[in-house]
Amino acid sequence: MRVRFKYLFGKPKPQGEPIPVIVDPILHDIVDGYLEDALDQADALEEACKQKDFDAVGKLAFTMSGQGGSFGFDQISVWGDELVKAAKEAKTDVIDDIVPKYKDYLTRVQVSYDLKKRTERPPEES
Amino acid sequence: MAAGGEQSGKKARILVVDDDENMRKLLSVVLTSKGHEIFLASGPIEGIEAAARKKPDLIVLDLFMEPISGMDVLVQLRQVESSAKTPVLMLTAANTINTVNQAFDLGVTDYITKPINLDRLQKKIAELLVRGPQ
Repeated sequence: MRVRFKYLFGKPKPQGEPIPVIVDPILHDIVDGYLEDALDQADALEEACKQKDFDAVGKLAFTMSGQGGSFGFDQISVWGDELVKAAKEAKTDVIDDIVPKYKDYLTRVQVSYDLKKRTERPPEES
Repeated sequence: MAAGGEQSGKKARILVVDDDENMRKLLSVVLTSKGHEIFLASGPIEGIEAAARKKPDLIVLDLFMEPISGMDVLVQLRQVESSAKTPVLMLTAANTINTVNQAFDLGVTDYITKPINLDRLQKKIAELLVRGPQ
């Protein structure tokens, strides 16, 4: 069993309006775990950027990109792709801009499960 | 062999090889919901061993893994009689012509890019199971 001491007293308080995201109901039982891991990843991204460890930023961003849209959070994949590119080019300003937005998103995201209302979908392959 | 898995109502035996725990959970939930029996391998070496041991009807294989890639796993799977013709669906974030062409040259059956569109994934799995061994 994983113990998350970091969030023993709750997740970070959201600053601002909730961000509604409609997720496929089939993922109901695993979305909370994914979002908790995403918060950990965001912290790791922040630390890697501080250390100027662009290899680590790239790897974390690659994971972020693959997971986000698969779970229904397309914005996370968009940021993941941008971070992968920024890490390759060692653009700390881009990373410093995206990581706080990502953390803020994770604290404000409000998940609901309704297949009929689902709007956020990964792009179709050509 | 459960060829035609979803259409015939029979469940297929599907091996998922991915070193990302969240993606394994997602694939497991999605495929289990269709009645398939799922085996999970948390890395490339485990995947090769599980393929030989479980003899699945289909393998879902991630491309980017360590210490060896999904491409290397694919090569090894195709060299073993029990998995030489097993349909392999590759998961890749690199939707580039070179990567896809290389995967087809090495014997992949089909591919899907991450982030995964769940409807598309289920459709591809159903198609591959209908098609059966290649």
